[in-house]
Amino acid sequence: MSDAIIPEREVEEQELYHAKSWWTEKVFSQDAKIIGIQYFCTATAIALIGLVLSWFMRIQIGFPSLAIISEGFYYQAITMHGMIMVVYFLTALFLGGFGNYLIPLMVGARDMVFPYLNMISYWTFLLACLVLVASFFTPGGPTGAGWTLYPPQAILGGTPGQESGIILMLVSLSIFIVGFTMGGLNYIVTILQARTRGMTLMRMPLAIWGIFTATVLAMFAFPALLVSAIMMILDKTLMTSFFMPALVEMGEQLSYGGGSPILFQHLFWFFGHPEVYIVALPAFGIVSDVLSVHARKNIFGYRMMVWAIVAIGALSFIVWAHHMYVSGMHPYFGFFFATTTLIIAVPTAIKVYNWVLTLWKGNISLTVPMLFCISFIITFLNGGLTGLFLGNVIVDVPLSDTYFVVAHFHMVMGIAPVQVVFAAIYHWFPLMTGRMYNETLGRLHFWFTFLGSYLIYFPMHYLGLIGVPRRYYEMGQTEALYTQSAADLNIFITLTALVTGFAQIFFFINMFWSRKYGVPAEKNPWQANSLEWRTPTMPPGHGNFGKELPVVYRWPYDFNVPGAKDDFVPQDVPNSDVELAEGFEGTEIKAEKT
Amino acid sequence: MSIFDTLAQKPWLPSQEKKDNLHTGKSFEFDSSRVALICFLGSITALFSLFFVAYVGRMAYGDWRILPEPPLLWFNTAALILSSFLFQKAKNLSNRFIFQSAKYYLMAAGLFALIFIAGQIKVWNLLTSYGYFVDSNASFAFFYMLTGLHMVHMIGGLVVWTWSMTQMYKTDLSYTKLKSTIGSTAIYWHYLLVVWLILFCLLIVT
Repeated sequence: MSDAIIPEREVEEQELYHAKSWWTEKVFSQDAKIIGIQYFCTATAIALIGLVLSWFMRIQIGFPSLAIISEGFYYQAITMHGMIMVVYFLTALFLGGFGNYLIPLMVGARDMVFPYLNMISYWTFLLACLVLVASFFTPGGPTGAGWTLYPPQAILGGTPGQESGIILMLVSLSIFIVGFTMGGLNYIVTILQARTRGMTLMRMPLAIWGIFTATVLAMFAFPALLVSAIMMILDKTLMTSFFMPALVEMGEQLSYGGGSPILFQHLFWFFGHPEVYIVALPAFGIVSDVLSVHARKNIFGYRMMVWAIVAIGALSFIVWAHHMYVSGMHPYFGFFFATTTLIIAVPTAIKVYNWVLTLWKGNISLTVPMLFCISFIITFLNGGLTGLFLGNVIVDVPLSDTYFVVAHFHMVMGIAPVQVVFAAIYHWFPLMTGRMYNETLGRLHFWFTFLGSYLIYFPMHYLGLIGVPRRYYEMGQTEALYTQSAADLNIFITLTALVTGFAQIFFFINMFWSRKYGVPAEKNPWQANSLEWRTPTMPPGHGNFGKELPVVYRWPYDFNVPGAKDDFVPQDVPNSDVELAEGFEGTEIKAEKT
Repeated sequence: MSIFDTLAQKPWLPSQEKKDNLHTGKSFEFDSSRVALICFLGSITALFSLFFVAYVGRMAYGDWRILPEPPLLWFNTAALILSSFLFQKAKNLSNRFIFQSAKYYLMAAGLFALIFIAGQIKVWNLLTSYGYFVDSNASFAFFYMLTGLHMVHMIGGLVVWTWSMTQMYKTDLSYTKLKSTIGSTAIYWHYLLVVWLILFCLLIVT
């Protein structure tokens, strides 16, 4: 029987570090699962700061007469909200959090290949967060340069945080990149070198493909941010002129001269655009896995899904200048970037079609993770379509710097990935804690979050279309330009944002309560196939698997295989061990036709 | 098997399942630290390439001034080439497990690297004594920044070098681990030599 042949072990049994004290077990842990949870907690904590900052902004926009914050703080809030959410929350959560938790479990490894480096990676990330938050307490406060930190204004007088906030921001980003590189090497090498027997690349769950490709992107994209951060720090502290042109400030000629602010924009967006996919690709992967499990169907077009992930990753490096149309560029240049931007919609559309086709005729159970997956598809589709508008130079120029853009990027890389984060947390909560979450609270959380975020961002498209500009502290006497309804809509959006933000309390109550008092989860509660559910204990212990690492006999999407009794066949079950359905006795599933 | 063959597999087919069941789980034959090193070098290559692109891009602006090339730079380059050569020697010997001799080559390689770093700092001194400061012109700023970054990477390599040296004097050392570390560090050394040569060429040409 073919299944009986098991290849010799070539991936050596890893020598695990065994913690000797409470400190090395729980705090300075080298176990990827604990490091993953540390990433989760830190990223969520800093995201809450980002959320509160967004409330300040929304209250100011909705009720400008209250003037609850100053102009300067408004810009600081914009900047910190953007940078926190994109880099310190989503990137860290998907790659540091889910990467650490899922990679070793899903590929059948005991831990990451370099556990010590992995631990240092987390603590470096924490340091980066602390440096960032420290800027709130320095003279002048955090930088208010906008999350893109465009020079020259980022380091000139008049911009809030010009004194020290901008330096702390750049230093924090540099620390983040160093920490990420250590983690990233771990993710790549573990996926390439530490898979268990039988786990070919094309048998990996799509979540791992997404995390893997995103990490590769990050390894090439973050250096661009590091380059621009280093050069801007030097411009600020040593008065070099990499990005700074000749300037007159307050009637005084500054010592800068000859630098190119556009050079910064190119470097920044060479990082900035792949960054979108660094966040999106793990989300794509995770949503594919969760959809497949909760629809009891194999993912539609697995190969195509892998190709799309790789293609999107490659294309993401040649679209960056579509963020710079309004900076001015040669028309052919704009044409090139508009074309590549539209091309990237093809693999992305393939993915959306495949998710929908996975649901088609599936045995869908509308669990909380599934609800979040469906809402992800809807939100992502909406955000993706407006991306097609903005990818065209001629449409982008009038819409640039309006609320249309705010609506677009929040839909596509704010709300959509966050919904995947929730789907993933609810899906893997039983694995991480050994208990089930509370279904009612989960559903309440879903409906508030989905409807709330849709009601926040969908109307913003209309605001943008009538030309309401983004980044304005208040509109002032603008009745001549905008109708009263624009102001009313802003009030509505603000109220919805407050309600949606506060509704996240359902999530936190659910997590904290269920972690301790939830119903104990049975093993593999979703009846999934991938290896993380096949550990001897739940939550998995140190070293993940039992005495022997599992051996893989199939891809992770064998749902409803003809002839099998159960509607799922886990990856580590050979064909010969599959329980057969009535009427199929004496045969073997997936037997080749003779 | 090429990446395209891999991506063309249909893992759900019974015929493919039979082949996949025999897979050992590793993508590359060489050890994991070597794979990590290659990924790391890929990332640093992106870093230095972007700096070089920025350098060439910034050159196009009218205020660019040509940097003097102190002859000391040639001496430093020679020291770095020698260091790389000696490291290769140490690697070849440690591959054959002749650590007694490898130790001296390794020590010499490190010393020449230190001479290189000292030489570079001396070049900085010379340039500032001529009045070429970091904020005088973008070309000087690039020179200080890129040589500085190159030195930071050299110092990173020297940390690993120090670890290898201390291992040599241990009684209970793991030979295979030491051999692999020396091998990887040698690759890193050659890589930094190549980066320096490209940087040096860029300085001479512009």
